[in-house]
Amino acid sequence: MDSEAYSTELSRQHKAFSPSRVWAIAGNTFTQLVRMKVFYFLLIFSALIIGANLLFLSFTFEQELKILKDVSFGAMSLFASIFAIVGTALLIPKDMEDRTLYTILTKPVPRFEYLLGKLMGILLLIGVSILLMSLLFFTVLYIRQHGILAEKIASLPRHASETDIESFRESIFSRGLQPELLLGVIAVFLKAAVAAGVALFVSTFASSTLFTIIVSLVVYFIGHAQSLALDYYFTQGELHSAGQRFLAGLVGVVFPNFQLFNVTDGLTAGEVIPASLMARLVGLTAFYLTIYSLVSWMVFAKKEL
Amino acid sequence: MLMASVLLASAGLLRLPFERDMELEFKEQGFRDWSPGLSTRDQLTQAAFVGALGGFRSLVASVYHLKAHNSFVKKEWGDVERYRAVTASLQPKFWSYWDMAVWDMAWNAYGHYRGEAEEYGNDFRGWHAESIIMPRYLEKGITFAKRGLEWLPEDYRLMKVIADIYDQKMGNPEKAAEWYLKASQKPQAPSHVYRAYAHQLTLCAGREEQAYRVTEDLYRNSGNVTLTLLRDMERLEEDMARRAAHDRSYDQLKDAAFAEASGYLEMAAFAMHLLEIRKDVPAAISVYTKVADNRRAPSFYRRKLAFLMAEDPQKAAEAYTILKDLAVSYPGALRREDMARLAELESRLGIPE
Repeated sequence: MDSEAYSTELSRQHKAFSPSRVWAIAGNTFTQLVRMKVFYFLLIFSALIIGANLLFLSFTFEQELKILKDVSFGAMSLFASIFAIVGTALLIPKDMEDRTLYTILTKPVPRFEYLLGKLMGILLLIGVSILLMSLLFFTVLYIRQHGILAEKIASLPRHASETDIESFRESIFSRGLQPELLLGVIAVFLKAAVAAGVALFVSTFASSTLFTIIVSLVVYFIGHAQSLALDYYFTQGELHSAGQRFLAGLVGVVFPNFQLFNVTDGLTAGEVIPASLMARLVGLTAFYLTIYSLVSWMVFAKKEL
Repeated sequence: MLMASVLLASAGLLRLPFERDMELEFKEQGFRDWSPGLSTRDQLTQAAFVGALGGFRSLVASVYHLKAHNSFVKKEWGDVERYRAVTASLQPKFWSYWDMAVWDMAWNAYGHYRGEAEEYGNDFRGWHAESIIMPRYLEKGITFAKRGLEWLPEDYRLMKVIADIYDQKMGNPEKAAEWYLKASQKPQAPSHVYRAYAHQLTLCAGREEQAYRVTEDLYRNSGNVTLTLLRDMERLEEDMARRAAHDRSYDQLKDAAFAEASGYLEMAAFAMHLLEIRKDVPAAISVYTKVADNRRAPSFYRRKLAFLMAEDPQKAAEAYTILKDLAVSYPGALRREDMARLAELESRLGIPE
């Protein structure tokens, strides 16, 4: 086979989009991030939830379990968002600094696959981190709710009936480890995924890692407040000028709505989120990630490296 | 970059109505129960405000709950009130925050100032604590509970806590009965809330008939005759019998007692007349015996009969038997002071302890 035929054969075999190439980049990105010793954060997380578990024993069990859930979800959300923004902001500059980017892109790897692989890698890292945090959180919550029940049973008079104990068990466990908490964990992941999408887009045109982090944090913050702005300017539309409403609308169009992903506040207070709403939240995240991947590619494809 | 911006804007326009729908659905499900108003901004620190806005509202509420607890330990009631207000407004659908706010105001702060009032007695500080501050904290407690009810209208516990304040702190059985009744009508309310309503009703002047209807219904149909219920029933029937005994003539009462369709209540009124107006104890004993024999008559009539009989040396042994039987069968029918009377009867009869 002459060289021209070999080249034709190669290009015939080369697929325009290959999930295995994306997966290889994702795996590599994950390893790269793990080597940065990011999982040490788990020590801080453990200290936080164990501290929350031990320090607030003088409250009612309802409040005690709520504080434990609040601290755990709060820390989980914070860590996941930091990973999403900082981790993603580091990826492209680090690859450029290490020259890995050039090694990859000189091979027949489309830039879109590279970006997608990077995004998948960071999502994998966030997913694993959240999984580990959830396991810790659920274990501590499980132990605590059984501890509370044992304390309650010990404090009951001797003639307390099985019905009394059962009623206590039901009351404590309904505020403890419940399947609905998993939906909260998923929502934390979804929010972090969107934040990672934003950071990926910003990093494609950013001049430095710091710029990416700052801009992404600003977007993250505005994203939490944009629904309030829309609510304020549009529900009482007649009170505000057209210019104000246009600006509020513009903010709503440009910035992602992170407030939608805040379901843990309601869950810890005992609200129940319907599965259909959760499914729509997953769909919305997929939409955000698709759009951010596309716009990132549009900018990155034209970028001079 | 231009194409990317156009795509971003188009996607934004596409998702806005979808997100709006989701927001509305979240609101319906109770997930959007907080909006940061100016008053909240004033009460929260800047960091807490940003945290609450940035998706850590529940955590910020927990932090303020801890701050409130800390202020409670230091007895800084103004701060307790402020922090409790913030905590409850951050998560208004979490019942416990309202309950803690009520508890801190109407029990803890109130109790603290009651101690101050007792300490300073009649001087100005004592008067100020008792007449100005203490009632104000009770009102604050009630206000918190009512604000909580705006968010949790089906929660019996906040209604019950208002009733508890009227009952235990304000001594207002009318209002207490009103709130216990409201609470008892809520789906999760346990049966003791309705019993508390019945008890408060028995304390309301001028509502004796209504109180008796409710109490008797509980006595006969609830299957759970508590000591309070038994005492309320006894007090109400005694009052009814006494009123009749004083208001009606001997003949009227006798005719009513021995009429064919009469019940034990008419008989009890006649017995009361014999005892308190005519002072005819043997005749009263004879009629009370008939009352006690009525199967519908509560056990306290046997107690009354036994102690009347105990005064008569010839009937003392029989009275002792009735009382011993009551002590075994219906221990609730006897009171603490009855034990001393029983012991005295035993010594009179020469029965070893």
